Amino acid sequence: MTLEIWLLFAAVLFAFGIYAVVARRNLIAVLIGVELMLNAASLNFMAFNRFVATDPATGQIIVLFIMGLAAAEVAIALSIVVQVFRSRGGIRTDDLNELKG
Amino acid sequence: MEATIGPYQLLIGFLLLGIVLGAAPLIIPRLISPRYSGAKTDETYECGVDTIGSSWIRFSVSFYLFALIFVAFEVDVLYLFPIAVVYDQGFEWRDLVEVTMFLGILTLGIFYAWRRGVFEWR
Amino acid sequence: MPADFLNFLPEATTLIAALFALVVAMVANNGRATWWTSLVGAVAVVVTSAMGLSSQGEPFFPGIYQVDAFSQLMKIALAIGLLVVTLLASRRDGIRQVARGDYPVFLLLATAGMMILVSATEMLTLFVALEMSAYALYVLAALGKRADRGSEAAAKYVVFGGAASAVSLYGMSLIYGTTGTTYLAAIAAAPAAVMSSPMFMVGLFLLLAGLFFKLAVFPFHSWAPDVYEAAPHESVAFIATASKVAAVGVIARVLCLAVPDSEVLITTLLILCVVSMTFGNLAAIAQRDIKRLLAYSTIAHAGYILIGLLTLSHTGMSAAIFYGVIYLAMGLCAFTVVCALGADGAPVTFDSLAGLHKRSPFLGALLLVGLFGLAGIPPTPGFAGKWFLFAAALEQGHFWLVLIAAINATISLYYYLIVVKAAYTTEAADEEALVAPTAVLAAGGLSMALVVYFGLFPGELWTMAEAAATAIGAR
Repeated sequence: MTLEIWLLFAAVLFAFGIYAVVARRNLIAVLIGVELMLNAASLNFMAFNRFVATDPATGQIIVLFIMGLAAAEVAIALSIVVQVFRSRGGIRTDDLNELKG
Repeated sequence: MEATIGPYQLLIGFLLLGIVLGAAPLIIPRLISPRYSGAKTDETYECGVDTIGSSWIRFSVSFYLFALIFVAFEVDVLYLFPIAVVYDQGFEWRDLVEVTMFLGILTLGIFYAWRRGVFEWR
Repeated sequence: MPADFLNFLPEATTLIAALFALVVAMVANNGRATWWTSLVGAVAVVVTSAMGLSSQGEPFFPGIYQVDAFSQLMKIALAIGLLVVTLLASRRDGIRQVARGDYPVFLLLATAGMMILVSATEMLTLFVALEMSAYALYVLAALGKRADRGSEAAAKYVVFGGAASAVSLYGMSLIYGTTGTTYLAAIAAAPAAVMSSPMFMVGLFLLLAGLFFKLAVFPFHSWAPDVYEAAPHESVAFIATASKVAAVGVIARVLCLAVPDSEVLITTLLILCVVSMTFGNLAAIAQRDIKRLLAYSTIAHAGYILIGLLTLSHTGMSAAIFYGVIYLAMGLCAFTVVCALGADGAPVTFDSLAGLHKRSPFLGALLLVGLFGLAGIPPTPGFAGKWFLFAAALEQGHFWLVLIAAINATISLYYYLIVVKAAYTTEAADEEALVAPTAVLAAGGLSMALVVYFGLFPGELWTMAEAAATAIGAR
């Protein structure tokens, strides 16, 4: 297993995430896309840590922090999504048209 | 070329076995099951009690609150893993203070949720 | 060691004040008590930041956290932003009932995150601080009383914001991969061959893209008008001022890593800058909602600030830092008027401005000072700020950029003057005096004093901005 395989895998994961954020019409699916992007970054950190900057801890510590932050982000985002659901009765991004943005 | 089984061949073997075991239950019934469609085929439980109402119901929001609190606190335990790694490498007061601060802030979060009535079923 | 820890006093004060206010919110279950606690906390934060203005050092592990002239200038600006917005949040009648008590806690938490952000010199620390401030801002944006539009805007904010941070993080991972370190100082010391490698450049661009989201630069701006329009006024006042200062700070720090002769980087920033200014100013003309207008004006100002940043020179960085600080003061003036007019969380349009100079001469003057500042009319600091930015760009030979920016400044004059005209020449249906709470008036007085002071004596702030640019290693 070489570095390139991991990087490619992470890049594909990141691309899936971007696709979900841009193209999916369901807020939950968009959030899953964001999580995929974070995981792609985590994978990159671990791969670089293993192959390029060999240091026993850096990659693992970074990944631990990213996991914690991702969970906090999901908690906040989901509570906002629940609020959208309660006020709107749906969480499809197409319905979010009250504002022109 | 020698036929050795290295770690990667083993890994590929495991992956293939996993795919086969996952796909088999999907394919075998298609081959051997009888083609028959009756009045009960589209029920949620084909054999058993008749279902009442739609299964697309809204869950109480309390479930979501519990789930959110669970996610937040369960993942914060991650940060205790590095402490577990160095646990038997001698005692430092500074470490104890830091862990106490971390757990103290988490506990504050629990108390906050409690005071705001998250744990009361509504 | 204790002296080192004293360097962390402003951040520590903010965090302790946040926890203390949270406990008060829990125990007292009384909005007034929490607000008073956080007001005392905010004053303490301003005092400690002012005391620590000249402190220098590394309070924690070496290379991770830098307390220097740059971070301390940013911190005092953030502290003043916190104090003014806390004063504005005295009424909180646009906030939904259940969250009214907890609201100031999130202001304190967001400030703490931003303060750590401007001092972070290591990528993981930087990311954690970025997220810490962002999460508090997401919550602040979601607490409005009008749940349907407010939560829609907050959902957009949290989704785009999360995606932007993830892009940033992916960029950081590529930078880590090419340089093998997460310390900004070590990255800046990497050999030129590494710095100009495609992977490093892609990483830098992705990292900057996530940070440009915070600053609302053109292609990453789409959240700003919606969030500004639908989120509670006080939250918008904070997002529009304090979070912009923090964003300018962190972008300046990151850009000082980049190689100065990178044509690709400068050209990209140049394009973003021109498009951001032009789009922001043209879109602002068509707006009827004041907060939406200010959102597009923010996008235009992000473009102005980029003029200074893209020069990558010492004067350019100083000018961008200077503009960031005065933008905070001028933005706070404008948003104080919005908060005073939009009682009960009602939207503020041109109609609500009618007859403002008679209904409340003070608020009228405040609006005048804030908008003239944003437009860059001479006695205000906005003029000095634009002057410094343009001079820095000319020094690097960006003549066309300065010309486009000057045309843009003229366009912006038009819509700022429309707003002023609405407040000064149209007559209100009822000449009823507008009574704003004392705290809101105090907030207005404070921000107006700052704008007037910086307008009359820009030299002192400019010296501080230059020292700050030196501290982050601008060349």
